Amino acid sequence: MNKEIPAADEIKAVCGCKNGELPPCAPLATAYVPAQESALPRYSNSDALTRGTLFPGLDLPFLNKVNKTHPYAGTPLGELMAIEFIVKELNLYLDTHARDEKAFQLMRSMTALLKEARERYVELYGPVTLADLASSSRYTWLTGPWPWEYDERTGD
Amino acid sequence: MFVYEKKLQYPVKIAATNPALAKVIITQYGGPDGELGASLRYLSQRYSMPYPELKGLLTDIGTEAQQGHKKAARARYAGGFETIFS
Repeated sequence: MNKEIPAADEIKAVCGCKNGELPPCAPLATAYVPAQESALPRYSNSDALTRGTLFPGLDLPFLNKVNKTHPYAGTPLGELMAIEFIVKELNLYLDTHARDEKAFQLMRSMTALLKEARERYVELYGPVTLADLASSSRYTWLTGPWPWEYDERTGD
Repeated sequence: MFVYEKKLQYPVKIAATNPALAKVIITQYGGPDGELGASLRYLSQRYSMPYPELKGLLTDIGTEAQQGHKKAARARYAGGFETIFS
């Protein structure tokens, strides 16, 4: 049995982003869940929302069916959704990789972008949460459409 | 704990209404392995979780499952049923 443990960057070079590392001398007949190695590589902002994950390594499409785009692509709502999705992905990643400095820096810049995108959206379309009413001159919470009143087939 | 956002987290694309499919989606909504049960399980399990990173993770995915609940509700509504969440 080879007891020599390869260096971390050596493992990364061999495994790539689709595979995690295992203990090199793992005991037989033990079930395992390989851990995600790093936040890189990652998809671009709008691709992440379309693919449903920020991480190409975790992108495992069901029956190889892949979305080409999403219904809100190119709209302020689409932009807001895309940034919010990335913040959520980084949130879940950082929960188990809290010491990944690069990922945390990315999360910081994305949360700043999210704040701007949210303000732009609220200015155009009204409040997303009740707290957004702080910048409103009248009670606009009841103004439609509500999220379930949008028809994806016609765009109305 | 629960803050309503007047938008969906992820787009729900409906190509055609399909009551048969809506019947399947309804189990994703409130069935044994549905988002409602999942969300409540994560949010209850975190109270006895000793590890800080997993306390955070259970809180975050429990919140996430609430969003999934909204998406399932939206899909079900478009699929021909009535809904109270979106």
